[in-house]
Amino acid sequence: MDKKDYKVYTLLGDGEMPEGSNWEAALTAAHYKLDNLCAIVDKNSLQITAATADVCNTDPLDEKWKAFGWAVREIDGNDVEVLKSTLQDLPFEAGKPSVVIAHTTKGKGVSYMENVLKWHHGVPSADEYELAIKELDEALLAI
Amino acid sequence: MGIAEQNLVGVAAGLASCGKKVFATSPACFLTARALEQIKNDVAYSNNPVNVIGISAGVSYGALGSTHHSLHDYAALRAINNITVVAPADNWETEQAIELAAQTEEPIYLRFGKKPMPPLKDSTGETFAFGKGRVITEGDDVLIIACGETVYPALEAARLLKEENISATVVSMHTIKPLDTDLLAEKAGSCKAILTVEEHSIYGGLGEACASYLLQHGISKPFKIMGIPDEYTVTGSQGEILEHYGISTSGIATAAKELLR
Ligand SMILES: [Mg+2]
Repeated sequence: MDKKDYKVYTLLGDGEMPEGSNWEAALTAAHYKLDNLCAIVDKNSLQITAATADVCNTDPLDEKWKAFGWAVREIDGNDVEVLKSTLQDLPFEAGKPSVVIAHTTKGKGVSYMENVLKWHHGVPSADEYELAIKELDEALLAI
Repeated sequence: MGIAEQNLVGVAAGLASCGKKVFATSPACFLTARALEQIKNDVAYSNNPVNVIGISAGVSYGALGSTHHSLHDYAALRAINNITVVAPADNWETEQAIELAAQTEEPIYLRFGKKPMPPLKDSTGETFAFGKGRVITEGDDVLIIACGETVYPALEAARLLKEENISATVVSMHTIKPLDTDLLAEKAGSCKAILTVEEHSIYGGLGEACASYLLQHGISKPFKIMGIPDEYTVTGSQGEILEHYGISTSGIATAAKELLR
């Protein structure tokens, strides 16, 4: 409306993709050709109770977004460099909102947390916390 | 069903209309806000006997914040015709409410907390019915009417007050709608002051339901509604939030004494 040139980002979880309001918003964004809007779906394929595909399958997710009029890119969401370069390409297509389907690993970088459902909302013990911080610090140093 | 409350309630209503016994369960905050229209039209007004189960209600989710609190559900559902609104206070009430809901062919909203609650009293020989409040302890000075997880601190407050020679009646008003107005009128008539306690907004819940009935039936006593005030709710654990708003053993006892002053 104001023709301002900033971009708007919205971060979504794959577990909330069955929520209808997302798709209402997706329709509206495409209808108004909001190519300054970028949605990022954190697709770790897990949600609080089970694998997302077993709770309510939303695959193929890319085709759904395409059908709703969005320009889609799929990336390794745990690769920060790839994420950065992808976001530098916005908009992916002029006149369309963009969506990044970021394939991620829940608990990435902490050996005992990776892809383990309980860490959706588990609270680490003092020992577990120490180990997690140690592993993450080591990974950071190696970069 | 996934994270899709409107769909959950719509599907539940459809299944119920086909004769299935349906329990539609989701956190109370999302279920009764996001799917309010489906609860209103598909369940209540269409008279589909769905058991709508709101879990982790009130401020049970504590530090997850306002998005995860349900402080509106009594108010919203009380204004909808043809749905019973129930908030059990202990394991016995919870078990009874679930069994009764399963046998009852009408729209019901059951509101559960998250915290394990101690039994309010020995329930041997007691019968449970929707719309019939439960007298936990009796006294002449102050009437404390509570529901859900606030009944236990109310009972503890009654014990505290007893040490100061103030006697209290504590009622677990597990059914917020239809309200047990017979019990309310009887107990209100024989006390000196009335305190209501709920883990809900002070607007539109148990307290206002009681106040409305009493005022319209000529029963006027010093009266206070304890609940969450109309402000940005503080953040913290459930216990910390309730304590902040005086919904605790000492907070309830203090409020009772102020009313009797
Ligand atoms: Mg997920």
